[in-house]
Amino acid sequence: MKENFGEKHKLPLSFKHMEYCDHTSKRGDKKIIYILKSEKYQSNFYVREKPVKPLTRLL
Amino acid sequence: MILIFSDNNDRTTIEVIRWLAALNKDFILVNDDEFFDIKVDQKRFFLQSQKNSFFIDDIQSVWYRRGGLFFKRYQYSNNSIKIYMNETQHWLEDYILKTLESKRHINKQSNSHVNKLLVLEYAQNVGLNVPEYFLAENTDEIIPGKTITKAITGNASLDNISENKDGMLYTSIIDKKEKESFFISFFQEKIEKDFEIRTFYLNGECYSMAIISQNDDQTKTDFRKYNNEKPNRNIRYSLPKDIEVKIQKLMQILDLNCGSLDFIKSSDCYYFLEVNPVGQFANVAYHCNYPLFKKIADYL
Repeated sequence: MKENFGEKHKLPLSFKHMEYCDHTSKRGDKKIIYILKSEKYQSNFYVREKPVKPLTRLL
Repeated sequence: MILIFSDNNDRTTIEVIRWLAALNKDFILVNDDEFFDIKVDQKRFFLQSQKNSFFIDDIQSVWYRRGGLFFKRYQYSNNSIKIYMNETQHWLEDYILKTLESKRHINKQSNSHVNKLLVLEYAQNVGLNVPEYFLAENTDEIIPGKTITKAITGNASLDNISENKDGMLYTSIIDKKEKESFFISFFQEKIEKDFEIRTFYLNGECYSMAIISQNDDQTKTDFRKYNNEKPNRNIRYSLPKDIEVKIQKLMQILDLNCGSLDFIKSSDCYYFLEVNPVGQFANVAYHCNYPLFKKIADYL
C-alpha cells in the first residue's frame, strides 16, 4: 500500500488495489482557455455533437 | 421560470437545456462556483450572485442535477453578534432551500448524496436481492477469490494522489488474506454475472440498459475500467415488472424521484448494487435511444 501513502492512520483495503492514471485536472493545467459564451444556454461548456444512433445505423 | 443547479462541465445539463430552449421554457442555470446574497425587495425574497439574480416566487420548478445553492455569509467580529447573526443567516438560508425544495422538482439538494450502507439495508427491506456484504477491519472472514471490496464513498477517484497521478478505487477481487488489519472496509460476495444493468429512474419509470461487460477481462469486475479500444456492448433492456416496483418503493423511501441504479444479472437473479442520485445517464440515453433529456425538460 505504498507505505500507507505516508499516513499515520490506517486506510481501507481498497487503497491497496488502487489504480493510477495520468492526472487529468478538472480545471485544466493550461494557463489560457478559450471559451465561447452562450446567452441562450447560459454556459460556456459545449460538447461536440455526435450523430444519434439510428442515423449511424442507417449508414 | 425553471432553476437548474449543476456543475460547469456536465454534458447532461447541456442536453436538457437544448430541449428547454426548443420548448421555449425559461430557465436559470446556477453553477457550483456561484455564491448568492439573500436580499428582500418589495417584501419578496431575491437571490443575487455574480452571474444570476431572481425572485424566489418566480421559480416554478427546480432540477438539482449537481452542485447546489450556496450562500455568501456576512462575518461579524464580536463573538456574541457572530453567533446570533450566524443563526439569523442560517434560518434565512434554510427558508430559501426548503421553499425551493417544496416546488416541483427533480431531486433535492438536501438528499442528493446517499449513504451506500443505508441504501443496501433499504433495498433488502423492499425485497431486492443484495449480494451478501459486511464491514471488516481484517480479512479473517473473507473467502479469497469470492469476495470483492469497494469504496463506500460516492466518489471513487482521488485527484493528484501522487505526482501527476490520479488514483481510482475500482471494485476489486480479494484473492488473498492480509496479515495486517486496515481501516473499516466494505466487502461483498462476488457474483458471477451474466451482464450488468444500469437503470435510470425518473418519477416512477425505469429506463434500463444492459452492459455486456463480462467477456472483457478489463471490465468484468468493474465496467468503469472502460476499454476504449473495444468498448462494451450496451443495449436496451427491460427489467421484470416486480423489480421495477421494488425500485419505485426504494426510491420513495430514499425520497428521490430521479437516479441511476446498478444491478447484476446472474442466471435468474437480479442483484441490486447501488443507487446514485447524481450519476451520469447520458450514456443510457445515447446507447439505448431513450428520450431522457426531453423527459426531464418536459417535467420541469
